[in-house]
Amino acid sequence: MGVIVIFVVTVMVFLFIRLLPGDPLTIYLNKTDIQQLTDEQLQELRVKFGLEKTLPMQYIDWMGGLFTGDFGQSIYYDIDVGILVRERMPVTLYLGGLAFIISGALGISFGVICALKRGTWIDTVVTLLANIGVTMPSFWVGIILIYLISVKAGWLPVGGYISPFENLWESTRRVIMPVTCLSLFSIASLTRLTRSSMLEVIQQDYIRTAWSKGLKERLIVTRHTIKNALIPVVTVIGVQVAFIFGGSVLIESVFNINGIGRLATQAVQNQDYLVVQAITLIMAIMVVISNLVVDISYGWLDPRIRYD
Amino acid sequence: MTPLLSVENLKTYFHTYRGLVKAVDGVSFSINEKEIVGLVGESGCGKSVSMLSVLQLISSPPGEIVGGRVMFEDQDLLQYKSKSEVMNSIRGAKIAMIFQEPMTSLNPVLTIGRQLTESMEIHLNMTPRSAAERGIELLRLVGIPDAKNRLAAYPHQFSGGMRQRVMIAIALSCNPKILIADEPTTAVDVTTQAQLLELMQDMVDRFKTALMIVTHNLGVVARYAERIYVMYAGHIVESGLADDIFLDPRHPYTIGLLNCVPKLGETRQEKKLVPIKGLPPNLINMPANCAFLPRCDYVCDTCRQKPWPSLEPVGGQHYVACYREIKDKP
Amino acid sequence: MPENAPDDTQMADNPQRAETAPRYSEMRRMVSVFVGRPLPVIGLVIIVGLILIAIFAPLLAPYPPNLMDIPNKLQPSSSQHLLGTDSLGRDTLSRIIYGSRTSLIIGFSVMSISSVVGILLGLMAAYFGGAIYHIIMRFMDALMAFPMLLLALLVASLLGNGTLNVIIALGIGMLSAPCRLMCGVVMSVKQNDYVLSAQAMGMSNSRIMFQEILPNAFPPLLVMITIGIGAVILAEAGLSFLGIGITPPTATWGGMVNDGYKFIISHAVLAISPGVAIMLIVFGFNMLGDGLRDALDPKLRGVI
Repeated sequence: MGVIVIFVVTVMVFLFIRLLPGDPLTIYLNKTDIQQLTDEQLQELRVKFGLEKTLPMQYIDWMGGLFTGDFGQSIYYDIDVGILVRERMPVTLYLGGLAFIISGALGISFGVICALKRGTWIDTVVTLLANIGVTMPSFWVGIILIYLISVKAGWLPVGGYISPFENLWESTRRVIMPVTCLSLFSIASLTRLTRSSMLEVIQQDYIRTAWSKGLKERLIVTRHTIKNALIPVVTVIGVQVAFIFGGSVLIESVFNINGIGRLATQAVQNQDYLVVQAITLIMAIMVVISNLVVDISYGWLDPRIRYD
Repeated sequence: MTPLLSVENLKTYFHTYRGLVKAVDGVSFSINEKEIVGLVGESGCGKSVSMLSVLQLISSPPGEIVGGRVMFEDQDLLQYKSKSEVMNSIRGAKIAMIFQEPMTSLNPVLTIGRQLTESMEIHLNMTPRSAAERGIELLRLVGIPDAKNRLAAYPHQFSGGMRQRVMIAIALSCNPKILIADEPTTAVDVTTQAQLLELMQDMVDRFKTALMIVTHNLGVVARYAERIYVMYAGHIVESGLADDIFLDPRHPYTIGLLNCVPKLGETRQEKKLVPIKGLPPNLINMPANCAFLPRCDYVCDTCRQKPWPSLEPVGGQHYVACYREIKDKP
Repeated sequence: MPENAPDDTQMADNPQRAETAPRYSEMRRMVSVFVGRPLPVIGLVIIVGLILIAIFAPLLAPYPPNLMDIPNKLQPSSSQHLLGTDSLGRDTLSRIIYGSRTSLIIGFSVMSISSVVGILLGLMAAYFGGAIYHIIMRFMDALMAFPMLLLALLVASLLGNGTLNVIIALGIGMLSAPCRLMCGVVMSVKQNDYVLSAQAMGMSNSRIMFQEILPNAFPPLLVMITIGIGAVILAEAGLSFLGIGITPPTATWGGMVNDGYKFIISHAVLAISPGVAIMLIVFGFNMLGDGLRDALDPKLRGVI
């Protein structure tokens, strides 16, 4: 399944570039260059880039390149796209990974607490905050954090990135705000989802059975409710990964962080198509892989799937 | 002899957007040790709600127990909160319950063993190991083959009838004084129904447990119950020994119920099944007079003018809530 | 025998009542659930209010949105300029008012395109089944794997800037939700006994479609579209913030946040106020969607 989806992802990304209006050579050369070249020279270039072949053959060539790490040449930076991406990738993965763990832990805990304290002021306040949290544009939150915490209070540096292996303290100081922004939406939406899922499970017949056995509320929640309630939450983990990647495009711009998100934006502005293509492809494949992990963890949560 | 459990004037209301639903409105009943009692009525008459109220398993909101007493072991259970220690120590340990839906009453993500042994671990302070041993024994008693390996199975691997057997095993695991079976056989097929009922009778006999069977099926109680309560629209309309109810029904509703049960040995020519006309009443904003009035064949002026009649003795343990004395029963 | 069976007779006794009575109260139940809580009503008020603001923007805005007044640039808030002016001397309040047009146009057009195309694809997948089902669904799986913003970046980088291109880019990103929803509804409805019986009675496929599938699909689609509009507006704000898609001088809230970011230290209101507008509109659509879901969800019937 996952392999098929990855295949479709690559075909889509391939076609996006090939369906470009005009000659695919524009990817490698800018328009004035093409006008200066003679027809013979253009034909030579086409053969060189394999563009005279049929579309499926071109796809196979392109895929072959991908497997050897050949994403093509960046026209703006004039280096191999693979090298460029590999250089910027760890930053995004580090921030995104932190945001993912934090949003999972906080979102699910908040949701469970809200559901258990349903109707109390805690539930009302946290639910309202979650409802507001899913409406706030992350880049805007970043700007406000910079304004309040860096500019007004002077507690944290405005932006930039230092690797945690280089200087853990300075790195953490710089990471706090971007990770907050990246995880905010996920925390809020996971809180909402977990809460409603918990409330639905609490109404189920088997929870009534658990009560009828004289179990204490704590045990009913930990043993009988949470596992069931997490099933729909786990389904959206892939969506959260995609969302955090999407957010990194914005947040890395706000906080001046040189990850692949910022690289993507710069590449679009510089019309550096192959870079955009490579980043899109890598992010999509990582989302597919996290979905695969989700599918596997499903079996642990839900025995009905394990035995099917 | 004081009864094991006696419920007095129980009132459970539901606050819905359409208005107040008086699902149970002044219901009294009792059950003695080792007795099998039936509570009969149409769906939605409040019989399940009465039973859930005894164990305070009503979801609140929208439900609320607004009045009455539930006397068990010389104390009123309603003085304790639903989530209190006392209620937790009674539920499952002294009063156990089996529910209508075997497909949804077991937790889909926990093994049968986990769900079977947890109440023994809590109420009987058993170690997981001894609880598992007793669990296997219980599964064997309720007729589940290969009990030892079935502890690790999940509910979806069992059929409806098997799940209900597991529910019976869970309910009886702590030797409760009372077993409440809320429509235990409604959702399973007819052969399984009979087997389950036999099993329950057998089990309560073995464990010396009193059994309260809640059902809409008169055939079920006819065979097993010693005493019967007939419920209609949140009220008990008739109660008595099984013979009183079946041989000498007094309330028009009971008479109607009996008329739509086929009797063995009767041919169609001799007697036709007669359905009760009309539909059960909507429990929202009910009038003060008898709720059966619109469907009653014996309605009189008194019924229309006076409020809902109270249960009055008509001899022995037989009680009826009706103004009419019906002579010419069909 | 049938005339004697008690259950049958009771059912047949009152077919009219069973059919019509709940329908009427169903409508009332939905309205009362919806109106019974404050948040959905607040959401509706916000959305209607913003739509009116967008329609009557020329009447409400104190200045034209792109009127530059360089001598009066970066003014603090005053009676002339309630939210001050930006670096080109444009009135911030007026630009926010006009920005609602961009957000709403993008939100509604993206969701109408993606839901029409998505519904058709979903119907096709469910109706034809087999290979077509797998092709469409794997395509949707793949689409779901792309972070929407990145997909929009990719499309925008290929097609270039412009409102229409943004609509296409986000429309592709939003395709999978209506498609999967429609396909799921049709597949489950197909299995229902009443559809099988309708088929057995010789009801034509198109009649089954309209009579059985649409009523089942409509409530979740409505909820999905409502909440989707909020998501689209949020994504569009992100694109404009990056300066991709809808280009200056058109007033967009995301673009305004980006412009204001440069002056965050001296003129914080420039970046903060358009963000509040984004929050407000997304909050409105989310709350309306939540309210609709609760009102249309039969599982909550009678509880509230």
